[in-house]
Amino acid sequence: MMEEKEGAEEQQRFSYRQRLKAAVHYTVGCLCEEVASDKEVQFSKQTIAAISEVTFRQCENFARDLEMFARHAKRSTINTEDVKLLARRSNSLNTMSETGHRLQCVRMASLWHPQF
Amino acid sequence: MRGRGSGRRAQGSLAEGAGAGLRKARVLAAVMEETGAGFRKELVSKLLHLHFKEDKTKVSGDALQLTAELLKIFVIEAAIRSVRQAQAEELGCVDLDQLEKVLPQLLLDF
Repeated sequence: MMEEKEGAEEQQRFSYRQRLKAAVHYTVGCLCEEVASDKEVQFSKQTIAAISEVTFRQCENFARDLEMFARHAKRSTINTEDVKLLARRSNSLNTMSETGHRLQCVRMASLWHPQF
Repeated sequence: MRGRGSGRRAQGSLAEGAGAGLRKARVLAAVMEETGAGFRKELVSKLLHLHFKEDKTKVSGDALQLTAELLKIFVIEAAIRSVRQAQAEELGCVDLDQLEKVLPQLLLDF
């Protein structure tokens, strides 16, 4: 009886995870399509699936790091300063021009600028 | 600008904090609306919570939006670097081979 219940819970966790992966896959597909039409190339389905898989796994790194940063600052709520720390390597990031601007905004958005 | 700032400070730091947050949110919203697709806040929240070790860990709304933006940048970087690789190899289609070549550096850069 207990084993059945545990099995069902395991199944639920798995389905939930799969649903999240599917949601990520959808968004990744949309973003790749924007890039594809802009650059006039095509992405194979496997490539989109692979980017989606990598992105899903990157979320795990982000989540763990963010939780640790907040905890290090003795907070239980993750804030923009923590996200800014997450993007710290972006200083040496040789991003393409399309994303360089966006990264700059991420860095700036987490700062307090009176003139904004 | 400075004069206005100090005038607002007289109203109390709470009001100033709220005003600052609103201004920041407007700037952020303007940036986010630039391109179509993106990660929804609820999805990002679920993705993060899936991997938290502590039950009490929460994420502020602003932090969620920024994380969504960071994820979007990650995906676009992966896509664009793969495209550049395909273009260098004079291919019209971006396949796993091209992604595999750019993935290591991408992960190191993030």
